[in-house]
Amino acid sequence: MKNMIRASFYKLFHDKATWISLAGTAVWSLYVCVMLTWIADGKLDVSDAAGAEKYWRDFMGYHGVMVPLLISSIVLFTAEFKDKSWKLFVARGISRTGYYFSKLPCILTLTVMLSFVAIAFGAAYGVVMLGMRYDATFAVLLIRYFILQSVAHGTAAVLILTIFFLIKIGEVSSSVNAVLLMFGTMALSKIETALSLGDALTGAFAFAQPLRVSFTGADEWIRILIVFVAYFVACSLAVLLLGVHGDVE
Amino acid sequence: MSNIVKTKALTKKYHGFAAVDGVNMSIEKGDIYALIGENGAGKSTLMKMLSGLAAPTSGEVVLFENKHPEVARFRMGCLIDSPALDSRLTVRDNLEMFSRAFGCHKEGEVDRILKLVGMDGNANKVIKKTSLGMKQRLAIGIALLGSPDFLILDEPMNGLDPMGIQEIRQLLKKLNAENQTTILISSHLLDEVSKVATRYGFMKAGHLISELSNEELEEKSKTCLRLKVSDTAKAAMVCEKDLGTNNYEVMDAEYVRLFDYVDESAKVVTAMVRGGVEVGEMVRMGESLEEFFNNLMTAREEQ
Repeated sequence: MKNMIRASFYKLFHDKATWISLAGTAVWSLYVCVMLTWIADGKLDVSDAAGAEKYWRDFMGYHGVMVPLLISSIVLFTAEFKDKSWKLFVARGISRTGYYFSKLPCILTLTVMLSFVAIAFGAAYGVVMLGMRYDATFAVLLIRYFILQSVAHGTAAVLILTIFFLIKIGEVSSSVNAVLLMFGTMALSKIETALSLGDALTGAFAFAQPLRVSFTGADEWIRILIVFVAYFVACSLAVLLLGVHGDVE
Repeated sequence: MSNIVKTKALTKKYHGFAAVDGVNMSIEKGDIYALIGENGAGKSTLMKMLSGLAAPTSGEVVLFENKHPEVARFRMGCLIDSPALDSRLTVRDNLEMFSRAFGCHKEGEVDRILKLVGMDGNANKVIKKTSLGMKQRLAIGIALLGSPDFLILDEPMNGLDPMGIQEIRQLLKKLNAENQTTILISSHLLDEVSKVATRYGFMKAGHLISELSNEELEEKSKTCLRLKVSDTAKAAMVCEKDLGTNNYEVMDAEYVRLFDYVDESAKVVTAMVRGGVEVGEMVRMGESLEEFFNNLMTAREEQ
């Protein structure tokens, strides 16, 4: 599997999709920062009570990392099923589970890179343009926020990759992932409200995890980690049980 | 000589339909084994089972005399169906990626393959902008990464121009001669296959109906003169006494096949006339692989 991981990383860093998604996150991050400046200056009216914080949280939860992650993942990880190039790996004795597990570090690296770009641009803008004080406390909070956002996005990334691997038809798996991203949290939230379940559903939903990380919140890291491990184990089991059968088309 | 492939009653069924039915085949080290059959005969399915892409419904595959084929597959290179390449990467990037995955990445390996398949001038082209012939060459190149001991090539000549076909043919011969690479090849271009193969397996409706060596096939399909004569007994005497050969065959009351003097038809006619035999017709005949294949398929249908 070590060789397969090397091959996956080679592809990650040689496919333009990776760099385009990183550039997309950077541009989007800067755009959001400008919006935040306007909110702070009163040039942009945000009717929502949460204001700027919610604006940033939505950016990190949806557009900033998740959308570029999903788009680049579609290009990077479904192409091998569409082009049928993955059968060349299997024909050389690489197991299907080995193939899946070699892609996991790859998509998690992509997630960390995207989270880093979004947060780094946001922080740099805050320091340079908004005059935020960069001190030890800020640095610790920033690093903590970056790690938690990476793990939270990583949970979604594990689910995204597993759906790609189990469905294999790019159009279908991409649509399933897109629907989960766009409507999953909203739908679960409505069910929670209707059934008075608190945050039992969204709290365990992979795509909702980035929305639950706040810059200053102190007690969420255990929950974020537990959900990540739970998804990792559940997805691995699903691949081991369902992903090794059938012929390679 | 060691077995590279041995199958025992290998069967693959799709919804009750047997695409491959009880195939027992063996490929020895150094063979260039041509798998020949019509569309739907089960060639690709058989190759998929050998390469681990399809699980047999029943039967057994033994590769390199190892009962765990998944271990032995590291020594194999495959091209099954159409060229399966990463269309977003360049030719070189594809080779770089696959060489890493196959554990054979080393300095110069990619350049060696590029040169071997004649793609060194197109290394930086993105796959989706290359022709089918180039894709086919690259797919063959990927199969050759790491110098595998056994190659499975399903229709490798597809999409290649005549020059490309010739180059690939020479490449396969060279690999077989220099590295003792064993090759399993299927193709619709029967005459092309006959230029490289050392053994043949003929498939029909999922069954392996005949296996022949090159020598056996040559024997079965050798050229001859077919003569329509007035008296076959006299003609036989002329063959033996005047032409000094026993290498003839009386077909029926009118026809004789002569396997010698194939390029000396005038001499044959003169001898026959001198011996009092009227020659009504003389045709140079020879079963090409294609003719042999067609006759074999027809015979199977009639059974």
